[in-house]
Amino acid sequence: MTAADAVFVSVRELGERIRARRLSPVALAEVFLGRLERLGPRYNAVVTLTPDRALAEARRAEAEIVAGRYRGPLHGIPYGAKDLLATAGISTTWGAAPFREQTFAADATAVRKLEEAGAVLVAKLAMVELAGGMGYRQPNASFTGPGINPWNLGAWSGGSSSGAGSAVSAGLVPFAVGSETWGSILGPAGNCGVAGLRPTYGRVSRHGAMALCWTLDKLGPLALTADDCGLVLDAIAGPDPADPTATARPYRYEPDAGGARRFRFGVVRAAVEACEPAVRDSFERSLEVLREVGSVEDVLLPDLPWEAITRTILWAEAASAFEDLIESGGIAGLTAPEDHSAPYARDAILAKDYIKALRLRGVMAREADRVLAPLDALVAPGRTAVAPPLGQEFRSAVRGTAGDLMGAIGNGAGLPAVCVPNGFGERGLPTSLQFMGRAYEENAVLAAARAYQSRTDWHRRHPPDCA
Amino acid sequence: MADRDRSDPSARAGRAPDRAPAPGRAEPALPHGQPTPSGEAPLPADSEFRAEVDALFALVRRRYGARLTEAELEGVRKGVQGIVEGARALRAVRLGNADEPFQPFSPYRSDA
Repeated sequence: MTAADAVFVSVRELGERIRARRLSPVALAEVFLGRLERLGPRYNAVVTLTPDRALAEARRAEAEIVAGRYRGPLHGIPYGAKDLLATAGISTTWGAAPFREQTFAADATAVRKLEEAGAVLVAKLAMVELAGGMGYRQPNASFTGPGINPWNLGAWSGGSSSGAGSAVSAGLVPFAVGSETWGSILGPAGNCGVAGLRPTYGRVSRHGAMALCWTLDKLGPLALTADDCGLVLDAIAGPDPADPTATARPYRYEPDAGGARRFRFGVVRAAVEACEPAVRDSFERSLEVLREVGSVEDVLLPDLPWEAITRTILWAEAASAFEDLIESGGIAGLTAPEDHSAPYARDAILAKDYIKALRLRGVMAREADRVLAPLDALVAPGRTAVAPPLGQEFRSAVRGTAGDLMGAIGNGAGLPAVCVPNGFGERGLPTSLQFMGRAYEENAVLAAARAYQSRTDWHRRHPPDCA
Repeated sequence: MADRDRSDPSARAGRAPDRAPAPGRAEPALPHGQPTPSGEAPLPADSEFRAEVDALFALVRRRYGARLTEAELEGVRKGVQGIVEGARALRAVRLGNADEPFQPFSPYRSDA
């Protein structure tokens, strides 16, 4: 087997080859470890390679499969974990210089579940320091350097799951696990032209993951296709006694769901009008594709301060989660200069206003569900613009300098969304399309995204110079 | 559930609550998804807004000012301004008595 045989191949296809014993998990791990070592530095994608663990897990997978004990579609598949997921005995830096020596004794639940599914951890992937919760304004906000976009080395890969986005895009891992508080899965997935799934809040245990905002943090996969995201979610979803917010609702990925039926899609026009022209053009072309598989209608949302609700919750909880680091002045050790001071402003958030945001979150959840109930998904551009250049300040809904209606509602109400590539915009950078559904309806949004990907080939295009 | 029976019926019915005019707010909110031309939150002109920003910034400056440069303090002031802007947007929405924080809480027993 050569690298070319296994790179840019879907998890589903790799799994089929492994199950049929046409592909060795050990050889596969070696291929991706080699690519991570050789190409990872080009994109600032990797914090720590994990060859010892990877080869041990790959050898175990190989022995089990030879013995007829095939665990499922992730058995023997290499992956990378955002470096905010605890891994026993391997450093977990949270992307932040003050924590670069931090090590935990046990795996995060999501990592443990992937091990149980037979997946092979090959790398801890780079991220924006503290998942971007300190208010960074430009890409150079990690001690591993700015995440670099494989499609354009002068552009950002996105945050905060920077390495997850670039590593999947560049064929350094078949899939990765990232996290999203507001935009940190859909952002890098969209910037890098790969699929990213933000599950319903509580679908995946947060135990062992860095807490930025207890009521907004979600873990989810990035992969080449929406179908692959479903395979990964199937492995990591489920209740966890160590995380009381992890839902007991069962989840099983249904890859055949929605095959023949017509979908019903909604569009919130305000979310489209805020986008740059090339993003809007890609979106309008995507709607033509979606009309082949369903109906598209405009829907209205009431006038509420959606972004202020989610932003207030995020800032207040992040200030509390990192109270010690902020009050001690330890934030001065972070990479982004703006992270040295921006968090101090959050002492100005009054308790009454935070509580008001939590009360309005109920209104948000009910309104979003009312709009989504008759639909399979709201569709919108995944990002309002293509990836920004390195070395420049960017606008951000989290900071209040840009609009992100879908992100504010989706994260504030804890709703699932998947984004997939849908074209290219300025500077040769990908644009993306997101499908957002009702709570716990991951299978509906995945079915819609699969239908779109079955009629397009954007996900089969890969960055240049990644051989 | 007497409290809920007396609550704002719009909340019970799942309808959006009324949006009260923002006290002292000079201009309507921007449409969703519309960044301001400068990329920074607009500064409302009313004195009540400025007074709240000044008071909260003074608190932050008192706590942390010794460790910050003037440039950093100016950035923090802008941060406080954005926080007050957001808070005023939240306060402008009327809720009923029964509209509780959307949070899970349950009493704890170690043997449960």
